[in-house]
Amino acid sequence: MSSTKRTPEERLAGEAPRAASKASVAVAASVAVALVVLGNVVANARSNPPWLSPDRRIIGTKFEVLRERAAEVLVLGDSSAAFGVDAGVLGEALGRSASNLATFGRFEVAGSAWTLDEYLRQHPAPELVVAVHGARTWWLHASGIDLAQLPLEPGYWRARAPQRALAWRELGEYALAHWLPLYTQHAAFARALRGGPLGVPERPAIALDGTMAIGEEEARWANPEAFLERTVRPELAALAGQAGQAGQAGQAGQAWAVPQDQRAAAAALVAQAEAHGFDLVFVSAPHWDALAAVPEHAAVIAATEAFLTELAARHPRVHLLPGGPSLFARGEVENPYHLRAEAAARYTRELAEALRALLPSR
Amino acid sequence: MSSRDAWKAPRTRARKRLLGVSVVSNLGMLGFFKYCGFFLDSTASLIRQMGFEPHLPTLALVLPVGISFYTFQTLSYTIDVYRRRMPATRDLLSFSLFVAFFPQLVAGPIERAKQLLPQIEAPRRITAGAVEAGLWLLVWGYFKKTVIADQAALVANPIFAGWQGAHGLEPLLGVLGFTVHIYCDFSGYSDIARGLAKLMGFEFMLNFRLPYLATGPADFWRRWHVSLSTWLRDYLYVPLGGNRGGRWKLYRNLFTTMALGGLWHGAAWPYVLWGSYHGVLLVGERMWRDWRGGGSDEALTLVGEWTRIVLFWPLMLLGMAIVRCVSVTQFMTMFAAQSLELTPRAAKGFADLAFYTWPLVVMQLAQHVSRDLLVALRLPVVLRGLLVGALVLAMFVFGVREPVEFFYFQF
Repeated sequence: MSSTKRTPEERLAGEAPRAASKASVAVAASVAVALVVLGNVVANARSNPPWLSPDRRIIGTKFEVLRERAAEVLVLGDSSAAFGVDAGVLGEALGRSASNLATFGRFEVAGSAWTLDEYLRQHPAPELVVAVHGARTWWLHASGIDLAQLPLEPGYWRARAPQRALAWRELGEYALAHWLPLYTQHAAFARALRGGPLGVPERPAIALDGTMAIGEEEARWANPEAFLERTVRPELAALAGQAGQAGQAGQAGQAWAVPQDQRAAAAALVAQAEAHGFDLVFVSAPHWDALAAVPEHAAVIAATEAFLTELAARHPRVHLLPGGPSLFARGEVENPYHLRAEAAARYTRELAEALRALLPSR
Repeated sequence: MSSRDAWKAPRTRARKRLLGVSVVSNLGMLGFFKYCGFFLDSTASLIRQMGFEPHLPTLALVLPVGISFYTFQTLSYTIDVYRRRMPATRDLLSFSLFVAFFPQLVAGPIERAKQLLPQIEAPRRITAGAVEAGLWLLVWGYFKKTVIADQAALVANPIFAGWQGAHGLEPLLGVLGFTVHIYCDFSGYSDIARGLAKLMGFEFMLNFRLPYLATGPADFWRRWHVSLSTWLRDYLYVPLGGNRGGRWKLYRNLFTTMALGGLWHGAAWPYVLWGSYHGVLLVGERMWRDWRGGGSDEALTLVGEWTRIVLFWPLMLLGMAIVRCVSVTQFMTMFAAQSLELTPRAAKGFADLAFYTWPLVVMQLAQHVSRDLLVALRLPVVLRGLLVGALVLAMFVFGVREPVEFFYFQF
């Protein structure tokens, strides 16, 4: 053990100047880049296909249902539809075979349109399509990473309706999602590197008709208040800010309006209905009753229903389920838009009755 | 302009008047934006406690980003010119860049004009060594911020948010997590700022020199936020009299400097308390040394050094708890609830903290032993590349994605 004494000044660390050559900097940078690339190649080999994230595996399973099963009634939409509509109950009530192909709201309404497009490439047209979207889905904007999660060919956003031009940033995110899985599927790898399982079961608990339900464990941890405060309210505040800026710029005023991309997606669904001769019913998704007390949220629903009413008025095969969204109590939801299993079964029966009332010939 | 005139003015009185104009206008802006609301609220609270109902105006001012940093930077220029330590610049563009240079605008380091202005005015020379060091500082800084600091914040923040229920080792875990968070957050920002500067051919001052390996309060302030502590020394402690005029004036000056340094951090009583606490520590250390008859720069053996480091940690953690708690009630409640019980939450939190902090510990030990903050660049070139690649991969996988603002942005 050293007995040499050092003063505080002598103990302080500094930055020792050092010379470096351009070649050594280039070699070190190249090695770093090579390691990052190699790490992602290995991760890709372990994870793609299928991806490790639970969400992506749910989407993958939904698309398996899409490809394997033809149905007379299709349910499309976001997670409120995925968890809120029981395809078995709906099919039985309507006396038709039904599939639930709804996934997540972050794919916007366009996600429903692209899913329907894929279905129509695989099967004959259904008799009825029910498109269930929560208010939040109408204001979300899909990132390139989101778009990469749909199991469709690269560039599908240009080849399929609604066609969409992606910005450079979104294209970059799409590329990141495919080539840097350590970045885009980080949660799964972080869990694995800390000793957890690598990924979730390849086939999540989804029925053959696409029905999925909130499990008891998920219901136990339900915290709709947190989702409302941390996600919904900040997003609504951001929307108000955007609308305010648009108003200041002399554009469409300060009220929120259905974005152009969402209008184009709804139009794509309508075009498919007319081209293939099936009925298309838009439904405002069921949600937690506390959301009804949020004026900005109600304003978004009012704006989307006004838009859909106008759309339905112009197209005889297109309908909007009247009466607005069904409301559910705190104990019946997992998050503000996700119904628990019993509530979902009840809602599906009510939905079937409303559909029969709307379309008496069905 | 007042600095230019002060440089030219031959008479001391005129120079003092011009310095006064500059100091008052700079501190006036800082006081108005940062401290007006604080003093009004404190006054109202005091009046209410005396049994009266105050009718004071309320101000909801938005604090301009980085105002504490560029105000001090501008003041240093004015005072150095007044002291004739540097000439006033005639180049408004260079001066504007000195004040608003983007890498350090919002959270320092607080650069001195006599160091940075000549660099701005001279032709830039960027060497391979500067690029290598700059890139390393960027990667290491981002790693400290996104992986260590933000993950430590995920451990600490829930404990402080639900402080009423924290018990067992959870309060200690919260303070440890915050200690890791604030250091990696702030020193990470400084590394990024210094790295960017190096890439553009500038050299910023060192802002952190392994503060958690300090052997005592004075040593801590040699290592923590060096650009602020040296600023306070040169422009507050020395003008107050410094160590001239006897022991008690020295103690007074030390305490006043630290209390005002605490107030600089934020217009809130926890910051004032924190600064005062460090003032008390510094005064106590100085008194102890005076009593023992030792100087301020005591030489230590390796054993003595590590003993002091370990002994200083609890005192430092106490300071961190003071600055992180929003009220005396919170501090006392958490302190009283502390015990040695390893709750499941504490066990998971300590495991998380250890998992994300070990690279910092290894790096700092290497930096301390070698006395070189760029010790990683001594590795062979391939190992250097592998280390950088591994840090980038770690940021991909373990980096916190939700935006977590740099802690010192609020100052």
